[in-house]
Amino acid sequence: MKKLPLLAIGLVALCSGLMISWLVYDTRPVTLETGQWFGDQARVLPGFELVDHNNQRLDNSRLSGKWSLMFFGYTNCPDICPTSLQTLSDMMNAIDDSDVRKSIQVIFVSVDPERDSPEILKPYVQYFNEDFIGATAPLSELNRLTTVIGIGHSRDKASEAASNYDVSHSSAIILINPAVEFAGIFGAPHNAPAMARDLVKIVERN
Amino acid sequence: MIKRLLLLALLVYALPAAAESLLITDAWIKNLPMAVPVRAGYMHISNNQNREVTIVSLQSKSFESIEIHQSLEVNGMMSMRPVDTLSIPAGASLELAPGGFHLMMMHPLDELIPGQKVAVTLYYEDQKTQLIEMEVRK
Repeated sequence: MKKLPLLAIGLVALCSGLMISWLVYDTRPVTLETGQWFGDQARVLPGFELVDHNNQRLDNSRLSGKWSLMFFGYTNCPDICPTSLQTLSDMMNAIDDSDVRKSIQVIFVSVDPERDSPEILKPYVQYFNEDFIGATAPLSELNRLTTVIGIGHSRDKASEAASNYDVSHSSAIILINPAVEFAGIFGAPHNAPAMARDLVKIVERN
Repeated sequence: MIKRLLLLALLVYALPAAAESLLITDAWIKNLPMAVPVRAGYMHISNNQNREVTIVSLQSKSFESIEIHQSLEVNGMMSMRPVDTLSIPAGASLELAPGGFHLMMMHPLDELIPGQKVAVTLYYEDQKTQLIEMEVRK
């Protein structure tokens, strides 16, 4: 008979514990409509340093505290890059919650530093959204970042003139979390409404 | 009477020649800031003829040159390849759309304004030409 109160206390303690942990930690895995969420496989990015469209330093500290979406391309790319940036702009406009929007930053990283100076990047990114950030760096510095996140890029040898070349590049949009970890990836084709729903889910659940 | 018949006969023969072109719809140019030297052009092409029609080149007074390209994705990597000519089989359609075939319109000679119509001439393999209008969109 003495065991019953103990059992009752034990059950109450267990239930309380479970409730608290459910309230505090959402242990459901994040399932994205249009991307891949790395969960606890997210890895901290190595140190890197780019220059943004205002000629300011863009390094790991600029990614801290925000959800960053990074897309890699070049301004002389007529089709894929404008299309992807337009999708990212449409995605931001599809997010109604201003708090969620404010916690996201979009960074276009040019893998063509020879032609894409900050002076070229500024009107380019701001054409799609005045808050978008453009950035680039010498190839050796870019590679410190791109190799870790699986972004490929190469100048096409088949292009004729020295100033009129194409650059092959990955189509994925990279997600970096506020702890500056590589947290997810959105593969092509990119869908603005679906990405917007995914970002809302990600920001609200973390 | 004979004159009228002759005129009618001329018209009947002239009509097929006038119809020997592609049906181009929804032709548009994705605009970018003036500092960027390229623009992408897109359109829907229908060949309602009973023979293959081949576009060999395009020109516009609004651009230095126009090329045809195809965006390709291989294992997550995007690249472009130039396309010399575009052949549309009899009765077939071809879409120039984001992520696929597109026009690479080089060096706009003036600032383009959304809503503006840009005149572009298509040159066919059989020496015929066709003038189309492409709408500039933001």
